Amino acid sequence: MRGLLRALVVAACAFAIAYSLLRVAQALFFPAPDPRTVVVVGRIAFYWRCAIAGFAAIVAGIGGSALAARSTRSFDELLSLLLTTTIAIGVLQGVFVP
Amino acid sequence: MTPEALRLLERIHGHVAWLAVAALVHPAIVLRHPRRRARLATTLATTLTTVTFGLGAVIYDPYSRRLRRPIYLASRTLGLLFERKEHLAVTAVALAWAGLALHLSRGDDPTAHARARAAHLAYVAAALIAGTVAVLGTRIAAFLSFS
Repeated sequence: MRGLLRALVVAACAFAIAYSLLRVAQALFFPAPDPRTVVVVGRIAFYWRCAIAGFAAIVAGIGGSALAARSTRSFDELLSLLLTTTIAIGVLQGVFVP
Repeated sequence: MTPEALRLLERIHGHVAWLAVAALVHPAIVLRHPRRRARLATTLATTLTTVTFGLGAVIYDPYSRRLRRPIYLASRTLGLLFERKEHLAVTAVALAWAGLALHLSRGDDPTAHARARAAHLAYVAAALIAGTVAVLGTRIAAFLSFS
């Protein structure tokens, strides 16, 4: 059970990080048209970002679970860094790359 | 979906969002003490946050098709505020889940201080970000909503 919970921690952080990085990549390489000029909406990027971030979260969760099983102490030491990174990337992207 | 149903869902989304913010503040305060247990509070706060996010995701499609353009046409600043709200909400819900998993994985292990501290950090950040998201959402809904 604890292994699953540790995997969930990594997966949740990976979801937020992947979502933010995808949004930044989208803004840099595939800029969306100005919403004022879009009359008919086709794909909705938010759903696609969530779907791809979900896939990344599953993969990262499996990796995190393996790391935690190998060394719980190392995993615990990395937690603060992981959370701080998640918060920083999420907030910076949310504010500066809307 | 009919406009009435969308309006109802939007109202529920907004009210549950503020409840979720209040619920997230509770573990953010209680978990200051690493030995403190708050399984019910963390589970309820994370559930409310997830329900809010889910409702937001349900009405996001009609928002994109019906409201996004009019909001941008009226005010680009408000349109961008909505985008910011959407991105920050993803971070808030992910942090709530991370906090819940960290708190539950702590179990009865008295040496799991790192996980306890991390759970506290996750809930503090989730509460602050969710509060910001709720303020932005209320501002935009007051400007234009489903009619």
